[in-house]
Amino acid sequence: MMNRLVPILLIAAAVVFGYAPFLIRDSPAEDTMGVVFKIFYFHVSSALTMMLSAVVCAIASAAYLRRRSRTADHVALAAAELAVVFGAIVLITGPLWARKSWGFWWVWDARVTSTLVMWMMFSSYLLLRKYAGVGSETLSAAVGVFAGVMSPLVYKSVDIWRTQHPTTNVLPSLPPGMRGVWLWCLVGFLLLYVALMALRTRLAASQAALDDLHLALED
Amino acid sequence: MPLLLFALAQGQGQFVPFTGGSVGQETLPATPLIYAAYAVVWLVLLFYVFTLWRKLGKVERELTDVAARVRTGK
Amino acid sequence: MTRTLQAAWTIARKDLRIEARSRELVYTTLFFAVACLLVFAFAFVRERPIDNAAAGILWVALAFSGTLALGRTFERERQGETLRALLLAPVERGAVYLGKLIALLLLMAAVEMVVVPIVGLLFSAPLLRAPALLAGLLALGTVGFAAIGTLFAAMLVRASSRDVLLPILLYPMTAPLLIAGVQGTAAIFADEPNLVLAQNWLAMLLFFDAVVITVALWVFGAVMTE
Repeated sequence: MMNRLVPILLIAAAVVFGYAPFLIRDSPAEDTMGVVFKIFYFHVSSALTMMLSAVVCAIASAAYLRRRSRTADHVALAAAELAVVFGAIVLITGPLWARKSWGFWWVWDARVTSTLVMWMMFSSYLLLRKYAGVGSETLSAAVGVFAGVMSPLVYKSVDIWRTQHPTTNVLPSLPPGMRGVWLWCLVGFLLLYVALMALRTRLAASQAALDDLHLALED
Repeated sequence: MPLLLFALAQGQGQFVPFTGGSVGQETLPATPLIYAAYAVVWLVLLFYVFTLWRKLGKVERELTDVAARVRTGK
Repeated sequence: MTRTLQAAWTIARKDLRIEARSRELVYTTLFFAVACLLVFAFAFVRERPIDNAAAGILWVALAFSGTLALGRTFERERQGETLRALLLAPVERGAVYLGKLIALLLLMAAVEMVVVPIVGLLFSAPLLRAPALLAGLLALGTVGFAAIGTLFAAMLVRASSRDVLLPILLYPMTAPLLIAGVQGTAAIFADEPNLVLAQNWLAMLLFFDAVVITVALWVFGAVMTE
């Protein structure tokens, strides 16, 4: 079922993404930041997708630890990888926006710092998977669970830390003219996310089946 | 230079040429940055989908090959 | 529950007895921490130490030496294959985890009792301004750090690349604890100290520790079933 759904999802995502630039071009410029604010549509959608993927990874990891289900493991791996991909997009587009609107590339506030820490946690998940050798599924599941638990704590602690100092950035609340455009972009990202999750999970499952067959051949 | 310092110490008595500062930000063009940001997003996503597709194709082909070999082997 | 705690204490005592004979871990970890402080002095001292650098320096030195100590306590287990023996013993999984944790905490306490005064000396930090508060921050921060560290180090015992993977996993994961520890300590050491803020950070550390230990106990049991 998933196999037939994926091309549909990809085409739908492509349509949404394809039309998005026109919507974005015609959307109103924001008051204080001007045109550069238009990065917002993809930047925030990427961030939300990354956090969704983080949650999926944490839940799948917990499921794997409880029941040692191989599907849960494949889903966790796919979710971790997508969290890193979308996180990379956020961490690259963010500074490009920040440089223009505030004059510097980076700021240590709660949102940015916790995004960076989350990105590092899931990158360490992937490194563990790749280099720890046998049994890395269980180890990375533990990391996935902890990443899910610690992420809100990271956000909270950085938030309290940095509100001691005044920050220059305030994410403006979205005026109604832009909400439609943003939702359009968000839908595109979510469609793409589901499609990519399906593909990546299938890759993980196929890879595992292949490894099993190789082992069977050796016997 | 000493003249400028002297003028600054005195306060503005005459025309002092503007030397940039925070207004320089406005001269940073916004549009190229936006194009760069969107280009990054598109490139990353397209690259990822592309590599994923290729890897999937390769693994599935190898899977059918090895599965056939296992069957004929039995 | 008490049986688990008793078992944990027995396991911890085993580690302490081994350590008492050679004192290898204590001495080397201690000197490593002092070596770190030296490097930080090169980095952060101008005519005088940079304002309020002492708090950060202290916690980074403890994080680095703690990571090293973690790696080496479990290296001992790996060489003797004793971790598997421990897990086969008729005790709760949690007891093994808690035993290793207690032993590590006592080691870190010994290290901190030397390192903290040295930091105060080298970087002009007012240690005696709020000693109980400072001790509390150090204790709770170390507990949280060690709780996550013990879990990951135990998990990595048989993994490849475990030396570098431990810090790669540990540092992002312990970010809330390090932030709370540094900020609380900095609030005490500042020129205009804010002890109420430090107390708030202490409370946060207590909350973090409760969460971390609970999750770590569950994960340890779930991971170490083989």
